[in-house]
Amino acid sequence: MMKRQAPRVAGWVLILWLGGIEWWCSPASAQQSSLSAAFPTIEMSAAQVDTLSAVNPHATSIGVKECAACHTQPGLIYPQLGVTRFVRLTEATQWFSQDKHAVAYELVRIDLPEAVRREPSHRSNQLAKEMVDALGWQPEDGNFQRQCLTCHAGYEQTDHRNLNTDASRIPIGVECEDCHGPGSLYTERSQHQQPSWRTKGPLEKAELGLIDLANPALCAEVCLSCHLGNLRQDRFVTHAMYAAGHPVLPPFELQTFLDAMPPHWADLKSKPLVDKENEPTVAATFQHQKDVYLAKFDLDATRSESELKQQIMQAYDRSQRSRIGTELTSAVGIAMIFDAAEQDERWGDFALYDCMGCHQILSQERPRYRVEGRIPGRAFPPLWWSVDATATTESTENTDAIFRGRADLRGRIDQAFNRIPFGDRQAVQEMAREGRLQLANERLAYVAEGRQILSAEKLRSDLKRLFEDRRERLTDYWVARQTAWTMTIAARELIAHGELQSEACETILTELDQLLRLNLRIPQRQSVLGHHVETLEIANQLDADRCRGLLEKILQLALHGPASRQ
Amino acid sequence: MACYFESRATAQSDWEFRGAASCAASGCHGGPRAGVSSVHVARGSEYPLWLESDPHARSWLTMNSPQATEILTKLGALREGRIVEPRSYRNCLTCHATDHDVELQGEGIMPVRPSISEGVGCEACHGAAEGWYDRHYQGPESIDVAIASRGMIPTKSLVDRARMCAKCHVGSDDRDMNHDLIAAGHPALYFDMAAYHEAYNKHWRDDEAESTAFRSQLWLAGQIANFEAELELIQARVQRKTFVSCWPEFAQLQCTDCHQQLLGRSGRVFNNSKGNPAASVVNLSQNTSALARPRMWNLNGWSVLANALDSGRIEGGSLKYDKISQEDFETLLALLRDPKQSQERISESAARVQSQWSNILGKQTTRDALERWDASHQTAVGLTLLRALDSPPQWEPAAMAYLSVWALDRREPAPAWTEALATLRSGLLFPPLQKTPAFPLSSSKDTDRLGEQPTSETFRQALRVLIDSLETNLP
Repeated sequence: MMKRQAPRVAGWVLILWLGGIEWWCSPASAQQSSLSAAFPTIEMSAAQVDTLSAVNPHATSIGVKECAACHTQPGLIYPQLGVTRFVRLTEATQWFSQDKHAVAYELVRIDLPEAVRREPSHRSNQLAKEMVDALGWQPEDGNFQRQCLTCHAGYEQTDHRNLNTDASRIPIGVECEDCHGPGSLYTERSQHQQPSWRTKGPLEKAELGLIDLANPALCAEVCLSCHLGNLRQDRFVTHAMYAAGHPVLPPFELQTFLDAMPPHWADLKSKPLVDKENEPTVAATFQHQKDVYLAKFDLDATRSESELKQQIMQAYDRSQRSRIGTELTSAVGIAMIFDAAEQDERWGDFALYDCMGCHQILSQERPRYRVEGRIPGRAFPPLWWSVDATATTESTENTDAIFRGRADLRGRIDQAFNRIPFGDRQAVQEMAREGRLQLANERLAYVAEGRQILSAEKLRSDLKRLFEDRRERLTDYWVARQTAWTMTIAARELIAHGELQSEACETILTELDQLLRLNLRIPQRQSVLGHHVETLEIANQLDADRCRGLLEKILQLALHGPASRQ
Repeated sequence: MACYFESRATAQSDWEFRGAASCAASGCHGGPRAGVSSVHVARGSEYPLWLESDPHARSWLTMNSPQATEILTKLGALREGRIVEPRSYRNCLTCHATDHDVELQGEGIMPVRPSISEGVGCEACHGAAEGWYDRHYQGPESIDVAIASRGMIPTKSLVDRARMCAKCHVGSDDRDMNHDLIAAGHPALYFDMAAYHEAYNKHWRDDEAESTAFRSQLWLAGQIANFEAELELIQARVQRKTFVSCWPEFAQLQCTDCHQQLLGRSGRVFNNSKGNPAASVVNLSQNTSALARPRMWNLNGWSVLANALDSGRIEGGSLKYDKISQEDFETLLALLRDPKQSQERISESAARVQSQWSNILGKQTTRDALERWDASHQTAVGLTLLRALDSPPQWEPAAMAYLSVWALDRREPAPAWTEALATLRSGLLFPPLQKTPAFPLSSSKDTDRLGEQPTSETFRQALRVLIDSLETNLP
């Protein structure tokens, strides 16, 4: 069986390095020492920090078949034991039958006969074939594997599978371990089936190869490695690939994208407390629920289990995921620029720049967006990659330093792209070390933030800052859409918590949806490309003032709170 | 070979400007009537003609218009109406005024001198007059002396005239109208000597103007001058000779290669308006890296002369145009499209092309070519350009083809010819609201979008008519 390396997630070690933030839950000290023994800490360069795997590098992939053995159907005994309250055990079924990730490879297979490719249901295979032909890729040059299958089938450079003939490991698509981490260690001795597994912290799980996807920051990072790109994993849609026909990757927004997936997970809110007296069998199966809460969130350990549950139920977790996801998008985008500056092949690829920066109609009728301090007529990284870091719970000395660091980084990047058209590569290389440390610090803050309970009050001030940060950039459709997604999720969550009047807000949300087309779902009868063209038309005709007005109205309603009820 | 280019670069002398007013004495160039004041001067009323009907005379007003102020502010040359970056401001003045020395007083205020406020005055084209203004009316010899040693710019020869125009209308080492300026709002430069000459309110008369070959010769002179100026500009840009010049320079690339709408109708990415992905993929066969192509508007002169020499239409004397020269040129084009190419390498390659140009297609050859240039030569060029058009054509190559055919100057054209030419022209017009010109792909939706544009079918027919007519006229 071919083994695959763990997906890399950067910078765990800075958790230790930064020491100053009291962000980790109490049992962390034990975990810290075991991890710090594995990695050198302070002496390393920023580049090294970024390449360190979050998960244990010795973990290897076991393949979807292994997972499916249990995660397909719960059978009889597990529901009786109460296991299915916490784990669906239908994950693989859900994924295989409904999740688009399952057909990611099938959609781009180029080895189908032409007659099959001509069928309407195989349009994407036809497109893939035409792309490969247009790009002049040959079967033996490995371009298809390296440039397509890294995202479409979890392919890695160390992977020597012959995808046409090796029947033992024909990829299905984006599989379990591509997101959750390679399974060889945590399946060993049935570790993740033990009752104690549920109370393990993210670091402990990472040591066994499992990525804590419940943490918004880590989850966003995993999604973004394909949905935005990761040059270190060869996950990158080049400009040539776009020109050959690859649909534009829509700007990422974590919660919206998660909502578009059929869920094979259950969040903590939907997991009930165990009634210990009346359900002794179930209670015996699991550790104390309170320990589970404490492993996942920074909570007051002196509170009772039901009090903690209540706190969790009141959390604005969807809004939090959206905000943290947006910040991570920006960080991953900047990391990509740093990586590109170090790769001859990638630096200067037009896909690193904002599409609309060049592909704008030369019209005086539509205002071209301008960012203060940028020389007109230069190519810059996409605007939707760059937001100021605003989503952390409280302003401490440390978080303030992070904000300042980000503003500084943003300024330096702008300068580097001001200096020379396509950007000053040397300047980017020079700032990369410090920049990566900044990004690693931010990442820590967001991982920590994901362990906090977001309150309505904090959410409101977050939204206000987000809107102010983006007010002038809403002429850019992708920025407008990303902002609108976050605002919509927040508004709906406020409504659900009774913190916002539904009727007043829903009308505006509908209007916003119509203006920007927030729904990601492609109608059954429409082709991906047809949908794509339509989206671009909407993008080109965006009425930024109207969009700004609608967002401001939502913000005002949200700030006003339930008092707006008359 | 190097001096071939340098000699023209140094034509800008150390002589001082006298100002347009010093030419305007009523007995000299300021008279009301043509041809009476002096036997050596064609009109005698050059100054009032320039002042009243020449856009060059309003160039300083343009520089001070609200739009220009906005451009200069966006570029960081002005802040709140004060000059804060004189080097950038000077880059504008070199074209927009006769003189371009910026001497600042106080807080970024420039004292206005006549040689600046007159706009593009007499001396901007004819040369600073200090050395010859008091001695250029003493017979043709006095003009020759003034040109040879006292800083007067020759304008009689069409090539020299075109070179003088190209200094601003294409650019040169001290006047770089680059993509930053275009993005800030300055119109892009599309100089065509023949078309500009036709539209220009002339304060002179050309003896040869009656000849049917005159327009073609002007066109050729423009191709030569544009090419030389462009090469000089490329060198200036890669070597960063001015404050504003930079590299890679987007203005060196074909505008519409990047500025295309990512929409179904742009004719590039999704060229099937029904959105059927089966026919939706751009043909990358020649361009697998999906990079923009170099802008050929000013570089076409090479192919024009090279083809003419190669086919024996004009004589190169002992000079032979060969494969090596062609390879040098193509190498330069390949380097220009790669944004990561080193500046040294481009500069080296441009120098090679410059040397090939001045050795083989050099001064003497261009003069000969110009004298012999006639309708048959122009027909051959027009055919080449028309045949090379993509379907649907990009705006720039189509405009170049149109202008080359228009330069044929048929005196009694067949109605079909006139109509086809008119169709081609209206397809090229920038539609209302100055959108990126795009060629219509289907007859229905595109017309509402672009106003009264020919449909793709009419357009194809017009191209066919022109090509057929040219083919029958080819000797």
